[in-house]
Amino acid sequence: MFSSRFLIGWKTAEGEAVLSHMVIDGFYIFLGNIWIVPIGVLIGMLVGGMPGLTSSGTLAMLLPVLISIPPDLGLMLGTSIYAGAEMGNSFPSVMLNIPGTAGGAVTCFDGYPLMKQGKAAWALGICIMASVVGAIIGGTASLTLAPEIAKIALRFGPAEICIVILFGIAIIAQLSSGGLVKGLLAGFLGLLLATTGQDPTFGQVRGTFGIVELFDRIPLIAALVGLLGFSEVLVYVEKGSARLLPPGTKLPEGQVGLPGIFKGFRDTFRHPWELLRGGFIGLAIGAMPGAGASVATFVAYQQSVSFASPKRKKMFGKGAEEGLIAADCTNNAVVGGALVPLLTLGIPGSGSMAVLLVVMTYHGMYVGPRLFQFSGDIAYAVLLSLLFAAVCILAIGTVLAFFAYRVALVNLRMLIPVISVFCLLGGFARNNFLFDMGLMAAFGCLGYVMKRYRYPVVATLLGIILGGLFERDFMRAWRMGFDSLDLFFQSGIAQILWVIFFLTFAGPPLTRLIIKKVKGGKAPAEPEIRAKQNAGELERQAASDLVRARQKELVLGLDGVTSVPRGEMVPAFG
Amino acid sequence: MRFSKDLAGALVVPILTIAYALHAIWELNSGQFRDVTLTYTYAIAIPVLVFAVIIVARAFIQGDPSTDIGGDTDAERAAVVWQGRGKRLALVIGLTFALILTMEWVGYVFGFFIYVALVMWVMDVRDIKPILIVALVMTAIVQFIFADILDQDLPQGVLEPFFDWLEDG
Repeated sequence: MFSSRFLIGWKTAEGEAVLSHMVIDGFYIFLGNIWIVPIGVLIGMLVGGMPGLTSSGTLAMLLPVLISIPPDLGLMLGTSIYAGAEMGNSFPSVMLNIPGTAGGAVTCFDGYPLMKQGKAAWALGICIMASVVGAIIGGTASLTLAPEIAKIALRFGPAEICIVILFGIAIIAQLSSGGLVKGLLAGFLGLLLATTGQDPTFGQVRGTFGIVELFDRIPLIAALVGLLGFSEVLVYVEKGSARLLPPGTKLPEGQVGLPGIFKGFRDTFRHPWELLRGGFIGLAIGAMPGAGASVATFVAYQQSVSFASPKRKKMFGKGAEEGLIAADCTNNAVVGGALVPLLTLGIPGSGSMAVLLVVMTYHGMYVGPRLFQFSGDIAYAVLLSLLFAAVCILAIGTVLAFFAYRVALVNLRMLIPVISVFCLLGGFARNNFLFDMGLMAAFGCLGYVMKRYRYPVVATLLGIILGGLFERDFMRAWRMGFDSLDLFFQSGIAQILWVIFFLTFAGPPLTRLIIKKVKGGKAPAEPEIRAKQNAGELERQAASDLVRARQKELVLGLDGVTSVPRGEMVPAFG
Repeated sequence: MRFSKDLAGALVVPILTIAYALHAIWELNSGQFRDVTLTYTYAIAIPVLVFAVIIVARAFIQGDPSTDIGGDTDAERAAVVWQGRGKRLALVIGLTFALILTMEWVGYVFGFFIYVALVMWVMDVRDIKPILIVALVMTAIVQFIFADILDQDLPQGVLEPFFDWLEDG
């Protein structure tokens, strides 16, 4: 079945037959597990509707469940939860001006004003339908692109895989709100932590401090649950947030009705270009490790404003449906985009994808370019589940629209110990060692300090997860290069990757220099350049300021959108 | 030279990282490791040291403001850090590690029940009814979902004879 010609490429009759077989097998796997998708979407919507919970933190807590069920079921559930959360965050955004996750911050800008005008149902209808379209665009694009990218990635040797991993860490580092140096420190710390235990090539034991439980490397699940889940618990303990609205606040009752929601569905299609633009922005930015829904929604919103007529521009921030469509379509397209690097290169595009990566690793699935070769049926099933999730979002979202925003009023103080227990059990799940539980708590403390001081925890997580693969391929490439780094620079693909790597980091300062020379004097104002070249950073900060300002009007317990003030915790990795 | 107002906290991550990287280098140099293993470790540890030193230097020279923790003045922020939220945080972390260290003897049933109740108390929930309900429900979830369905081998502690009797009975 896997002939040498197939290994080289799929442009052979044999390869094409195997590929179509994988698609059909994937379709049957999807059909057999289709029941898990609406469950995942429902959980995701409730999670997304609750400020304080993120999809990545929830998935981290649910890891004991995800690894106990078959991998196809676990991955479909995880993807559905992620998709549901990116829609569910709109409910409190529209009704209460409180984003459920950082990706829902932009929905507040135009959704809440519409609620105040008595058009909550219409706004929610737009949010739901735009999310459906975004999920369809993301799912369709990833379904068609992922196998093609995987074919190219099959040509990657050990040196190229090392460069891709470094690139993924470096991208996250560059987008970090704490700065490039902190981001790189976090990523390389993860790679260093991954050297704990047995060397993957020679079997020598390092960095265990004599602790037997570390001989088999740092337990990934404990590290992931700690860095993503328990650290968030500690953040909320520090904040001491209770309800998000003072008691006695009047809730927007009776505004939501089916006629308004259906009108919102219809009116969404009056702006097809907004939908397409939002979808492709979400797809592109979702595929970038470290960017995430918050960056994508701000970029899409900014583009929406740019393309609007002068008359419509004035409506943004006061109830422009274009802004709502851009935000929600982008939100869900990000899910499809994030799946592409995960399934083709084994690099998670977000914290939620990092959880799915751990699930895949736990079940012994091949992570990386050969996933479509060895477990292509499961990969296709996951991609198809995203498309079906779009249908579920439409149905479940319409029902939940009537009351889901109330989830935002749950007292977080009661949830904190519940989430802690799930995290502790998550750490324990893999090996049934109390040591792993302690390690999870230790990583949680580390993650809390990192978030507090704006280090991107997902860079560390990526380093820990991919460190073993990175080391093994580094050693392999070293040996193949006769104990030198030659192989890292020899092949055409490696050279192209280095050029992209170089341009990603040298590009912005070089562009500034060129602009300065061309304009012959004073360079453009710093904010203007940063807005063009580092859109994510500036817009995230602007969003943080704007949302913080808006929340002060309501005198809420939180002092910012869940984690936007903290840089990397949720905005990039929701 | 201006010092960061939160210098100690800003130095935690880089100093821990420097210590860990130096330990890794020392361990590999004092053991019988292959040259390529040494090369790889240096390739990772040296950049870690460089980045950490840069961050430490910045923390001293430029100041390294932490994320917003509330309060409009320095005095308010200091009060926030150590007189309320910091104490609560320390208690929850302490309770978590205490649970982990004692679970072998106390068992997961009593352990999680007491843990949930105490954490809610630390989070200023003073109404006994919700504390008891949430603690009971969580313990039941742990028992039925994690211990029974997912078959996790959680330490039974003082209740081990009881669980053995249930199994035998």
